[in-house]
Amino acid sequence: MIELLISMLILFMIIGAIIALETTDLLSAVISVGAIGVAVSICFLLVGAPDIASTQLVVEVLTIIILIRATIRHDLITIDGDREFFGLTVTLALLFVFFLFGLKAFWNLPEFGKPAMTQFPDCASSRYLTKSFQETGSRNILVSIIFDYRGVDTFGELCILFAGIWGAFAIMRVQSRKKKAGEKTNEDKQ
Amino acid sequence: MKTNNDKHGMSLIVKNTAKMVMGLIFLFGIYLTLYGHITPASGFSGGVVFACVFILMTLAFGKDVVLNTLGKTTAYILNCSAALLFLLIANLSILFGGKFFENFLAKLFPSTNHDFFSAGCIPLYNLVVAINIGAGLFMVFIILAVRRVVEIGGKRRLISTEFFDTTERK
Repeated sequence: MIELLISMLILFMIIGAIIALETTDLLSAVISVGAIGVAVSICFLLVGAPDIASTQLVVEVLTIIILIRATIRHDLITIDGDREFFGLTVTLALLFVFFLFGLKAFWNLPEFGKPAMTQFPDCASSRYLTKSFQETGSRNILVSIIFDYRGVDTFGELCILFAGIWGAFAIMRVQSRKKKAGEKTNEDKQ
Repeated sequence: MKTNNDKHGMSLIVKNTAKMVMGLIFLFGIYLTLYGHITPASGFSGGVVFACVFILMTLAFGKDVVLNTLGKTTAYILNCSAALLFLLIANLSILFGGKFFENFLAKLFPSTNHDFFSAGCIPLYNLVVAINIGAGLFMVFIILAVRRVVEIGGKRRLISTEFFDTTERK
């Protein structure tokens, strides 16, 4: 059942990616990219990772807002009343579908007061609790996880932070005057 | 550090309080960083506290004092070298016959008591991450602090006041 759903979602994602590549409308391309992200989020819900699913959803919404803000200046689309009603219906239906998937993931969570490490004694969290001090020598379990057991994860996190800080720094520099020349050429074309 | 009757920054009370508190906050950041493997702290929180000291200095004394104390170039060098050192410590374990990102110092010097020198590479990682985070946050804050919007010939323009000495005009 879950395999069938995931393969259908993967098919949906491939179709969305082809639409995003082939369409000439920038706004449609951005929205198809957003649909792919929501499908990835539903996949995470189906395989039992609600935390990563919510992170994926938040990142996807932020990406769509930034991309729409970046592209809407180039081609504006006017929406009349009938189309707005259709869009509202589709939005509500999709939200209901997403709610159903979320409900399914919620039922799969372990029962309150009975964490997963009591059901599976050799899972990762019980190993952190019992053996982290002997294996790493660090009394702080959190630090022993983020710098020893999952060190490569922290390394990727630091890389993202480094690239983000230098990217923000490069955008916010005042000395760059090349952007104004680009804007002028755009005005000349219009 | 400039004198208290300088016209930049906030009032005399804020400047004197900031002078007394700044060193203690910096000491707290050092404590959070160095004791990250024993107490509930880590390099991330220590780095944020380091950045907070310089943000407080900017708000109380004005940007010129901070640019003379810890300049932008020093912040670049600290940020980049800390990121490189993190990768270097991670790669050193291959040299000692382990895998990438293995805690090789804990295997060479095993420790079971709660000493300051314990936990292998974890204190080194804490120190490097604290320098990286602190310098990065300071860079973002100082580039926002030196921007001003001024009117030049009827047009509003964004300029950087980093290289202008505003003390001579006032």
